[in-house]
Amino acid sequence: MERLSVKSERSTELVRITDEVRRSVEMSGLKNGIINVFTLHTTTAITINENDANLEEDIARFMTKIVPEDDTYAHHSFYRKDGRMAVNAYSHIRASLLGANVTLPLQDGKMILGARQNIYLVELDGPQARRLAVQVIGE
Amino acid sequence: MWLDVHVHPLLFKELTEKRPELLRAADEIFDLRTSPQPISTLLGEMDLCRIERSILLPVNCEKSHACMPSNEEVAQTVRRQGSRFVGFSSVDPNTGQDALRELRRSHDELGLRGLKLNPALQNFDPTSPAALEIYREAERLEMPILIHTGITFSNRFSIRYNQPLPMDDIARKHPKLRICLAHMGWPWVWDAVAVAVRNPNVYLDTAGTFAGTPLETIRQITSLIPVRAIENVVGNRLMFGSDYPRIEVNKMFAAISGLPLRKDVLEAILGENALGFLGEA
Repeated sequence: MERLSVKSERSTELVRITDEVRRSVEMSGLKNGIINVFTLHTTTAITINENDANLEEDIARFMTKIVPEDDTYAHHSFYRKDGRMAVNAYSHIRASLLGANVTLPLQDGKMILGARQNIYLVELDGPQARRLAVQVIGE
Repeated sequence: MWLDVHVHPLLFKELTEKRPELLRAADEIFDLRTSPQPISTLLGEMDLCRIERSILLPVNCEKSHACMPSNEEVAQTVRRQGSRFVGFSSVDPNTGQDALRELRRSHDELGLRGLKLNPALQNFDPTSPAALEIYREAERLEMPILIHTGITFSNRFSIRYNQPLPMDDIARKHPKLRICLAHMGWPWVWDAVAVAVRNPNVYLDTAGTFAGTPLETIRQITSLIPVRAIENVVGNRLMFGSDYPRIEVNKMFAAISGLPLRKDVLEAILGENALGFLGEA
Protein backbone atom coordinates (compact mmCIF):
# COMPACT_ATOMS: atom_id res chain seq x y z
CA MET A 1 0.00 0.00 0.00
CA GLU A 2 1.26 3.47 -0.77
CA ARG A 3 0.25 6.76 0.78
CA LEU A 4 0.01 9.73 -1.53
CA SER A 5 -0.04 13.42 -0.68
CA VAL A 6 -2.23 15.86 -2.56
CA LYS A 7 -2.64 19.59 -2.04
CA SER A 8 -5.92 21.30 -2.78
CA GLU A 9 -6.20 24.99 -3.56
CA ARG A 10 -9.86 25.78 -3.13
CA SER A 11 -12.53 25.11 -0.54
CA THR A 12 -14.41 22.77 -2.91
CA GLU A 13 -12.70 21.29 -5.94
CA LEU A 14 -12.02 18.12 -7.89
CA VAL A 15 -8.32 17.31 -7.99
CA ARG A 16 -7.20 14.88 -10.70
CA ILE A 17 -5.15 12.05 -9.25
CA THR A 18 -5.22 9.46 -12.07
CA ASP A 19 -1.54 9.82 -12.92
CA GLU A 20 -0.45 9.59 -9.30
CA VAL A 21 -2.53 6.45 -8.76
CA ARG A 22 -1.22 4.94 -11.99
CA ARG A 23 2.39 5.51 -10.88
CA SER A 24 1.64 3.94 -7.54
CA VAL A 25 0.12 0.89 -9.23
CA GLU A 26 3.14 0.50 -11.52
CA MET A 27 5.47 0.67 -8.56
CA SER A 28 3.61 -2.18 -6.89
CA GLY A 29 4.76 -4.54 -9.64
CA LEU A 30 1.48 -6.47 -9.48
CA LYS A 31 -0.15 -7.48 -12.75
CA ASN A 32 -3.70 -8.62 -12.11
CA GLY A 33 -6.13 -7.86 -9.33
CA ILE A 34 -7.91 -4.85 -7.91
CA ILE A 35 -6.85 -1.35 -6.92
CA ASN A 36 -8.43 0.46 -4.04
CA VAL A 37 -8.03 4.23 -3.72
CA PHE A 38 -9.08 5.47 -0.30
CA THR A 39 -9.07 8.93 1.24
CA LEU A 40 -7.92 9.37 4.82
CA HIS A 41 -10.10 12.41 5.54
CA THR A 42 -13.75 12.77 6.48
CA THR A 43 -14.15 15.96 4.46
CA THR A 44 -12.84 14.63 1.15
CA ALA A 45 -14.15 11.96 -1.19
CA ILE A 46 -12.87 9.86 -4.07
CA THR A 47 -14.86 9.68 -7.27
CA ILE A 48 -14.50 8.80 -10.94
CA ASN A 49 -15.82 10.98 -13.71
CA GLU A 50 -15.05 12.53 -17.05
CA ASN A 51 -11.90 14.52 -17.55
CA ASP A 52 -13.48 17.93 -18.20
CA ALA A 53 -12.75 21.17 -16.34
CA ASN A 54 -16.33 22.43 -16.78
CA LEU A 55 -17.74 19.24 -15.34
CA GLU A 56 -15.33 19.50 -12.42
CA GLU A 57 -16.80 22.95 -11.73
CA ASP A 58 -20.34 21.62 -12.12
CA ILE A 59 -19.86 18.78 -9.67
CA ALA A 60 -18.23 21.06 -7.11
CA ARG A 61 -20.98 23.64 -7.49
CA PHE A 62 -23.73 21.02 -7.31
CA MET A 63 -22.37 19.69 -4.03
CA THR A 64 -22.52 23.19 -2.54
CA LYS A 65 -26.09 23.53 -3.83
CA ILE A 66 -27.51 20.30 -2.44
CA VAL A 67 -25.82 20.60 0.97
CA PRO A 68 -25.84 24.31 1.80
CA GLU A 69 -23.32 25.89 4.15
CA ASP A 70 -25.84 28.19 5.72
CA ASP A 71 -28.12 25.82 7.58
CA THR A 72 -28.66 24.52 11.08
CA TYR A 73 -26.39 21.59 11.81
CA ALA A 74 -26.12 19.63 15.06
CA HIS A 75 -22.39 19.22 14.36
CA HIS A 76 -21.88 22.99 14.63
CA SER A 77 -21.00 23.24 18.28
CA PHE A 78 -17.86 23.67 20.33
CA TYR A 79 -15.80 20.57 19.63
CA ARG A 80 -13.94 20.03 22.86
CA LYS A 81 -11.83 17.30 21.30
CA ASP A 82 -10.27 19.87 18.94
CA GLY A 83 -10.67 22.95 21.09
CA ARG A 84 -12.55 24.89 18.45
CA MET A 85 -15.95 25.31 16.90
CA ALA A 86 -16.93 22.63 14.42
CA VAL A 87 -18.21 24.53 11.40
CA ASN A 88 -18.03 22.10 8.48
CA ALA A 89 -20.96 19.71 8.79
CA TYR A 90 -21.82 20.38 5.15
CA SER A 91 -18.33 19.17 4.10
CA HIS A 92 -18.80 15.92 6.01
CA ILE A 93 -22.25 15.34 4.51
CA ARG A 94 -21.02 16.02 0.97
CA ALA A 95 -18.16 13.57 1.56
CA SER A 96 -20.59 10.89 2.72
CA LEU A 97 -22.71 11.35 -0.39
CA LEU A 98 -19.72 10.82 -2.68
CA GLY A 99 -17.92 8.10 -0.81
CA ALA A 100 -14.44 7.58 0.58
CA ASN A 101 -13.01 5.18 -2.00
CA VAL A 102 -13.15 3.72 -5.49
CA THR A 103 -12.09 0.26 -6.62
CA LEU A 104 -10.73 -0.41 -10.11
CA PRO A 105 -9.64 -3.52 -11.95
CA LEU A 106 -5.95 -4.21 -12.65
CA GLN A 107 -5.20 -6.32 -15.70
CA ASP A 108 -1.84 -7.16 -17.26
CA GLY A 109 -0.23 -4.46 -15.15
CA LYS A 110 -2.63 -1.77 -16.34
CA MET A 111 -5.28 0.08 -14.40
CA ILE A 112 -8.56 -0.39 -16.28
CA LEU A 113 -10.35 2.88 -16.84
CA GLY A 114 -12.78 3.99 -19.51
CA ALA A 115 -11.40 6.36 -22.12
CA ARG A 116 -12.96 9.34 -20.43
CA GLN A 117 -12.71 8.22 -16.87
CA ASN A 118 -10.48 10.03 -14.38
CA ILE A 119 -9.95 9.45 -10.70
CA TYR A 120 -10.54 12.50 -8.52
CA LEU A 121 -9.88 13.46 -4.96
CA VAL A 122 -12.86 15.66 -4.12
CA GLU A 123 -11.77 18.39 -1.74
CA LEU A 124 -14.74 19.58 0.33
CA ASP A 125 -13.07 21.63 3.07
CA GLY A 126 -9.96 23.07 1.54
CA PRO A 127 -7.48 24.25 0.85
CA GLN A 128 -5.46 21.63 2.69
CA ALA A 129 -2.67 19.12 2.41
CA ARG A 130 -4.44 15.74 2.03
CA ARG A 131 -3.41 12.08 2.20
CA LEU A 132 -4.84 9.07 0.45
CA ALA A 133 -3.98 5.39 0.35
CA VAL A 134 -3.59 3.32 -2.80
CA GLN A 135 -3.66 -0.41 -2.24
CA VAL A 136 -3.17 -3.02 -4.92
CA ILE A 137 -4.40 -6.55 -4.21
CA GLY A 138 -3.52 -9.28 -6.67
CA GLU A 139 -0.71 -11.20 -8.23
CA MET B 1 -4.81 44.80 -0.37
CA TRP B 2 -6.45 42.74 2.36
CA LEU B 3 -4.91 41.95 5.73
CA ASP B 4 -5.65 39.44 8.46
CA VAL B 5 -4.62 40.93 11.79
CA HIS B 6 -5.16 37.84 13.95
CA VAL B 7 -3.29 34.66 13.15
CA HIS B 8 -1.75 32.34 15.73
CA PRO B 9 1.49 30.67 14.52
CA LEU B 10 0.79 28.02 17.08
CA LEU B 11 0.42 24.86 15.05
CA PHE B 12 2.67 25.54 12.08
CA LYS B 13 4.04 22.10 11.19
CA GLU B 14 7.45 23.61 10.47
CA LEU B 15 7.64 24.73 14.11
CA THR B 16 6.01 21.72 15.80
CA GLU B 17 8.29 19.28 14.01
CA LYS B 18 11.33 21.07 15.42
CA ARG B 19 9.73 21.64 18.82
CA PRO B 20 7.11 18.98 19.63
CA GLU B 21 6.56 20.61 23.03
CA LEU B 22 4.59 23.30 21.18
CA LEU B 23 1.83 20.69 20.76
CA ARG B 24 1.63 20.24 24.51
CA ALA B 25 1.60 24.02 24.98
CA ALA B 26 -1.18 24.34 22.38
CA ASP B 27 -3.19 21.70 24.24
CA GLU B 28 -2.55 22.75 27.82
CA ILE B 29 -2.41 26.52 27.45
CA PHE B 30 -4.38 27.30 24.33
CA ASP B 31 -6.74 24.33 24.60
CA LEU B 32 -6.28 23.64 20.90
CA ARG B 33 -5.78 20.11 19.61
CA THR B 34 -6.15 20.26 15.84
CA SER B 35 -3.41 18.74 13.66
CA PRO B 36 -0.47 20.95 12.75
CA GLN B 37 -0.62 22.18 9.18
CA PRO B 38 2.24 23.38 6.98
CA ILE B 39 2.47 27.14 6.52
CA SER B 40 1.43 26.55 2.91
CA THR B 41 -2.08 25.67 4.15
CA LEU B 42 -2.43 29.13 5.73
CA LEU B 43 -0.94 30.77 2.64
CA GLY B 44 -3.43 28.83 0.47
CA GLU B 45 -6.33 30.11 2.58
CA MET B 46 -4.94 33.64 2.40
CA ASP B 47 -4.59 33.39 -1.39
CA LEU B 48 -8.20 32.22 -1.72
CA CYS B 49 -9.29 35.48 -0.10
CA ARG B 50 -6.65 37.69 -1.71
CA ILE B 51 -5.20 38.43 1.71
CA GLU B 52 -1.70 39.72 1.12
CA ARG B 53 -0.42 39.75 4.68
CA SER B 54 -1.27 38.30 8.07
CA ILE B 55 -0.09 39.37 11.49
CA LEU B 56 1.43 36.51 13.48
CA LEU B 57 0.64 36.64 17.20
CA PRO B 58 2.65 34.58 19.70
CA VAL B 59 1.74 34.51 23.40
CA ASN B 60 4.49 34.53 25.98
CA CYS B 61 3.38 32.72 29.10
CA GLU B 62 6.91 32.24 30.36
CA LYS B 63 6.16 32.93 34.00
CA SER B 64 2.89 31.06 34.22
CA HIS B 65 3.33 28.28 31.64
CA ALA B 66 5.59 28.27 28.61
CA CYS B 67 6.32 30.34 25.57
CA MET B 68 4.50 29.49 22.42
CA PRO B 69 6.06 30.06 20.05
CA SER B 70 9.13 32.19 20.78
CA ASN B 71 9.73 35.65 19.35
CA GLU B 72 12.71 34.21 17.44
CA GLU B 73 10.50 31.59 15.83
CA VAL B 74 8.04 34.27 14.78
CA ALA B 75 10.83 36.44 13.37
CA GLN B 76 12.31 33.49 11.43
CA THR B 77 8.91 32.54 10.03
CA VAL B 78 8.36 36.12 8.88
CA ARG B 79 11.78 36.26 7.21
CA ARG B 80 11.27 32.96 5.39
CA GLN B 81 7.93 33.95 3.88
CA GLY B 82 8.99 37.21 2.31
CA SER B 83 6.28 39.81 2.59
CA ARG B 84 3.36 37.56 3.57
CA PHE B 85 3.62 37.95 7.32
CA VAL B 86 4.00 40.73 9.86
CA GLY B 87 5.46 39.48 13.13
CA PHE B 88 4.33 40.65 16.53
CA SER B 89 6.24 40.03 19.71
CA SER B 90 4.93 38.78 23.02
CA VAL B 91 6.39 39.41 26.45
CA ASP B 92 5.23 38.23 29.85
CA PRO B 93 4.35 41.28 31.99
CA ASN B 94 4.96 39.18 35.11
CA THR B 95 8.69 39.13 34.38
CA GLY B 96 9.21 42.83 35.14
CA GLN B 97 12.35 44.35 33.63
CA ASP B 98 12.98 41.19 31.59
CA ALA B 99 9.73 41.87 29.75
CA LEU B 100 10.85 45.38 28.89
CA ARG B 101 14.26 44.15 27.72
CA GLU B 102 12.62 41.47 25.60
CA LEU B 103 10.23 44.00 24.08
CA ARG B 104 13.13 46.24 23.09
CA ARG B 105 15.11 43.27 21.76
CA SER B 106 12.21 41.97 19.72
CA HIS B 107 11.80 45.41 18.18
CA ASP B 108 15.46 46.38 17.71
CA GLU B 109 16.99 43.02 16.84
CA LEU B 110 14.19 40.80 15.59
CA GLY B 111 12.24 43.41 13.66
CA LEU B 112 8.92 42.51 15.27
CA ARG B 113 6.44 45.29 14.79
CA GLY B 114 3.84 45.04 17.49
CA LEU B 115 3.01 43.39 20.78
CA LYS B 116 0.48 40.66 21.60
CA LEU B 117 -0.84 40.33 25.14
CA ASN B 118 -3.39 37.97 26.66
CA PRO B 119 -4.25 38.85 30.26
CA ALA B 120 -6.06 35.57 30.89
CA LEU B 121 -3.37 33.20 29.59
CA GLN B 122 -0.57 35.36 30.93
CA ASN B 123 -2.38 35.93 34.23
CA PHE B 124 -1.78 39.65 34.57
CA ASP B 125 -3.89 42.67 35.38
CA PRO B 126 -3.82 45.01 32.34
CA THR B 127 -4.06 48.01 34.68
CA SER B 128 -1.16 46.90 36.90
CA PRO B 129 2.04 48.97 37.21
CA ALA B 130 3.98 46.26 35.37
CA ALA B 131 1.55 46.41 32.46
CA LEU B 132 1.62 50.22 32.41
CA GLU B 133 5.41 50.13 32.05
CA ILE B 134 5.04 47.85 29.04
CA TYR B 135 2.49 50.14 27.41
CA ARG B 136 4.83 53.11 27.93
CA GLU B 137 7.68 51.24 26.28
CA ALA B 138 5.53 50.03 23.41
CA GLU B 139 4.37 53.59 22.86
CA ARG B 140 7.98 54.79 22.83
CA LEU B 141 8.92 52.08 20.33
CA GLU B 142 5.80 52.88 18.27
CA MET B 143 4.66 49.29 18.54
CA PRO B 144 0.87 48.80 18.40
CA ILE B 145 -0.61 46.38 20.92
CA LEU B 146 -3.15 43.68 20.16
CA ILE B 147 -4.67 42.57 23.45
CA HIS B 148 -7.06 39.69 23.93
CA THR B 149 -10.38 40.86 25.32
CA GLY B 150 -13.44 38.75 26.05
CA ILE B 151 -13.78 35.11 26.96
CA THR B 152 -11.45 32.19 26.34
CA PHE B 153 -12.84 28.82 25.35
CA SER B 154 -10.86 27.16 28.10
CA ASN B 155 -12.00 27.66 31.69
CA ARG B 156 -8.49 26.94 32.97
CA PHE B 157 -7.96 30.69 33.21
CA SER B 158 -9.87 33.46 34.85
CA ILE B 159 -11.31 36.00 32.44
CA ARG B 160 -11.58 38.76 35.05
CA TYR B 161 -8.69 40.59 33.39
CA ASN B 162 -10.19 40.38 29.90
CA GLN B 163 -12.86 43.03 30.23
CA PRO B 164 -12.60 45.77 27.58
CA LEU B 165 -13.66 48.73 29.75
CA PRO B 166 -10.45 49.04 31.81
CA MET B 167 -8.58 49.60 28.54
CA ASP B 168 -10.36 52.94 28.25
CA ASP B 169 -8.07 54.50 30.87
CA ILE B 170 -5.01 53.02 29.18
CA ALA B 171 -6.06 54.39 25.80
CA ARG B 172 -6.79 57.85 27.26
CA LYS B 173 -3.42 58.04 29.01
CA HIS B 174 -1.48 56.82 25.97
CA PRO B 175 -3.11 58.57 23.02
CA LYS B 176 -0.24 57.71 20.66
CA LEU B 177 -0.38 54.01 21.50
CA ARG B 178 -2.53 52.10 19.02
CA ILE B 179 -4.44 49.35 20.81
CA CYS B 180 -6.57 46.63 19.28
CA LEU B 181 -9.22 45.05 21.51
CA ALA B 182 -9.22 41.59 19.98
CA HIS B 183 -12.39 39.61 19.40
CA MET B 184 -14.44 42.79 19.89
CA GLY B 185 -14.36 41.84 23.56
CA TRP B 186 -16.98 39.12 23.03
CA PRO B 187 -19.42 38.94 24.80
CA TRP B 188 -18.75 42.47 26.09
CA VAL B 189 -19.02 43.79 22.57
CA TRP B 190 -20.76 47.05 23.47
CA ASP B 191 -18.06 47.80 26.03
CA ALA B 192 -15.34 47.27 23.43
CA VAL B 193 -17.22 49.45 20.95
CA ALA B 194 -17.66 52.13 23.62
CA VAL B 195 -13.92 52.21 24.29
CA ALA B 196 -13.25 52.42 20.54
CA VAL B 197 -15.78 55.22 20.07
CA ARG B 198 -14.19 57.28 22.85
CA ASN B 199 -10.58 56.75 21.80
CA PRO B 200 -9.36 57.24 18.22
CA ASN B 201 -6.28 55.11 19.00
CA VAL B 202 -8.40 52.03 19.79
CA TYR B 203 -9.14 49.40 17.15
CA LEU B 204 -11.20 46.22 17.18
CA ASP B 205 -10.82 42.96 15.31
CA THR B 206 -13.39 40.44 14.11
CA ALA B 207 -11.52 37.29 15.18
CA GLY B 208 -13.58 34.73 17.04
CA THR B 209 -16.22 32.07 16.76
CA PHE B 210 -17.53 32.25 20.29
CA ALA B 211 -21.17 32.41 19.18
CA GLY B 212 -21.01 29.61 16.62
CA THR B 213 -19.84 29.41 13.02
CA PRO B 214 -18.34 32.60 11.54
CA LEU B 215 -21.71 33.47 9.97
CA GLU B 216 -23.58 32.80 13.20
CA THR B 217 -21.07 34.84 15.20
CA ILE B 218 -21.18 37.82 12.89
CA ARG B 219 -24.99 37.69 12.80
CA GLN B 220 -25.07 37.68 16.57
CA ILE B 221 -22.73 40.68 16.71
CA THR B 222 -24.75 42.61 14.14
CA SER B 223 -27.94 41.82 16.09
CA LEU B 224 -26.30 43.58 19.03
CA ILE B 225 -24.70 46.38 17.07
CA PRO B 226 -26.66 47.56 14.05
CA VAL B 227 -24.81 47.60 10.79
CA ARG B 228 -25.30 51.36 10.50
CA ALA B 229 -23.63 51.80 13.87
CA ILE B 230 -20.67 49.71 12.71
CA GLU B 231 -20.39 51.93 9.63
CA ASN B 232 -20.75 55.19 11.54
CA VAL B 233 -18.77 54.70 14.71
CA VAL B 234 -16.16 51.99 14.23
CA GLY B 235 -16.05 51.52 10.46
CA ASN B 236 -12.64 53.18 10.34
CA ARG B 237 -11.12 51.08 13.12
CA LEU B 238 -12.65 47.62 12.84
CA MET B 239 -10.17 45.19 11.28
CA PHE B 240 -10.53 41.77 9.72
CA GLY B 241 -9.03 39.06 11.92
CA SER B 242 -9.59 35.33 11.45
CA ASP B 243 -8.25 33.70 14.66
CA TYR B 244 -6.56 30.99 12.56
CA PRO B 245 -6.17 28.09 13.33
CA ARG B 246 -9.29 28.15 15.47
CA ILE B 247 -11.12 28.79 12.21
CA GLU B 248 -10.12 28.67 8.57
CA VAL B 249 -9.25 32.09 7.19
CA ASN B 250 -11.48 31.70 4.13
CA LYS B 251 -14.52 30.85 6.27
CA MET B 252 -14.15 33.92 8.47
CA PHE B 253 -13.42 36.05 5.41
CA ALA B 254 -16.60 34.83 3.68
CA ALA B 255 -18.68 35.76 6.74
CA ILE B 256 -17.18 39.25 7.11
CA SER B 257 -17.10 40.10 3.42
CA GLY B 258 -20.78 39.15 3.20
CA LEU B 259 -21.81 41.86 5.66
CA PRO B 260 -24.29 44.36 4.16
CA LEU B 261 -21.96 47.31 4.70
CA ARG B 262 -21.16 50.21 2.43
CA LYS B 263 -18.46 49.13 0.02
CA ASP B 264 -15.90 51.66 1.25
CA VAL B 265 -16.44 50.63 4.89
CA LEU B 266 -16.13 46.93 4.06
CA GLU B 267 -12.92 47.53 2.15
CA ALA B 268 -11.54 49.53 5.06
CA ILE B 269 -12.36 46.67 7.45
CA LEU B 270 -10.67 44.15 5.17
CA GLY B 271 -7.54 46.18 4.58
CA GLU B 272 -7.08 49.90 5.08
CA ASN B 273 -7.85 50.02 8.81
CA ALA B 274 -5.08 47.51 9.50
CA LEU B 275 -2.63 49.80 7.72
CA GLY B 276 -3.57 52.54 10.16
CA PHE B 277 -3.12 50.16 13.07
CA LEU B 278 0.33 49.15 11.83
CA GLY B 279 1.33 52.77 11.31
CA GLU B 280 1.57 52.37 7.55
CA ALA B 281 -1.21 54.77 6.59
